[in-house]
Amino acid sequence: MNQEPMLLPQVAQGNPDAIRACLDRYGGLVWGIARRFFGASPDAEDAVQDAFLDLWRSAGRYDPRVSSEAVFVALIARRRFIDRRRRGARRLDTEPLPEAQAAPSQTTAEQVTEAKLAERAMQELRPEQRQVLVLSTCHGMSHEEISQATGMPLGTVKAHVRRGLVRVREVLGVQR
Amino acid sequence: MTDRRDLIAGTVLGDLTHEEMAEANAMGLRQDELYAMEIAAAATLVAEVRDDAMPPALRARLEPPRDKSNQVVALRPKRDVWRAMGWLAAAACLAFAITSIVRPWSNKTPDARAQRDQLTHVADAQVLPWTATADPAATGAKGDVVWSNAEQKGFMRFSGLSQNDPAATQYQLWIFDGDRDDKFPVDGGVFDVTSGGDVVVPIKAKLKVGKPVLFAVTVERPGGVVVSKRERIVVTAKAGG
Repeated sequence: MNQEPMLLPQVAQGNPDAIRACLDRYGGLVWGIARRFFGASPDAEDAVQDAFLDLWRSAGRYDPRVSSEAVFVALIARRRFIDRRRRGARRLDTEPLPEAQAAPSQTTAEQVTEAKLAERAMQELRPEQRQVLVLSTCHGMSHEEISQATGMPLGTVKAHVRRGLVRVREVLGVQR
Repeated sequence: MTDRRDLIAGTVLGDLTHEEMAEANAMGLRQDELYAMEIAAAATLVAEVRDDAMPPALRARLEPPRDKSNQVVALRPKRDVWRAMGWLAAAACLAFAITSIVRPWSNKTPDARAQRDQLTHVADAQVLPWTATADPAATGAKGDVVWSNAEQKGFMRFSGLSQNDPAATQYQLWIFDGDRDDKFPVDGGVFDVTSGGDVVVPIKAKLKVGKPVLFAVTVERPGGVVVSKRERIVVTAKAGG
């Protein structure tokens, strides 16, 4: 049911064709995420550059048993974009795992459906819960910003985002 | 005491209070738990965010040199890469600028128009007429919106919608999705009407649309807003059931 050939192992080897193919395949995704985090700000382009440079450096750590390439790329991009938005604040301690700790839980066929599973989990959330999770994870908005934009109390926003994310994780069944 | 999963989510979201941080430290959250939660956050991005075409100049800056195909390249640090690739970015910008100058403006509108017409032939495409509100900007406004849910693509067509000053206000499209709370419609992108006559505007939905039920255009501040106060709605188009 899959599958496009994996690119990241070749990217890790510095293969220029794989790098170009990676830009073709995931450039739109990373740029789409950046546009939601930074809008039309020039920061968006700098952030995308940071994200791809980090991806080139981190490609060797990609483990296909744990996530799809697209999710790995989105994970790297999200880290860089959050860093940029919260510069000066505490950085997330989110270094990828060493090989020895990687305990796969998904079959190959399941990897390609994780975005759909996440989508299903999102559909299961209450509409307001889903909305705040989208504003937080997809737009990079702080809880305060979400509270101001939606009129929801800050505590409610925080609870919705956390529980929503926990629910997505449960549906994905990522066991590490 | 905070639930462990809450602390893991809070760590990944970066929203822990000082008390929760102390709890998380005492609990000893593991890297693997945090990484699994990060994967969940990344999966929501892949599920919700639509791809946007990357600007050509940015793409050019990220490209490795093309001099020898299949040659393995060193993944150099950031500053060196930019310096090395600067000329390529400049070349791309120049090519883009030349293309923009040489290509007559009049050619752009038929492109959007032709794409719109093409989209009307897609099986699930809906063509929905606009209904103007009493807002002064909408006086005499007509047109329609074409949307294909399968392709997640659409175009708006207007005639008679007032021209806006982009420095003061912009129009913004909202797509009300039956799968989402109607308090939070999907942002369909901001646009300007700066010339008279018929205008065709591509829709740039920021999130995937499940079941479109209503399209509405509001007047917002330049750059648009995340959540509209809906103080000025100019046109709406209801999707057929």
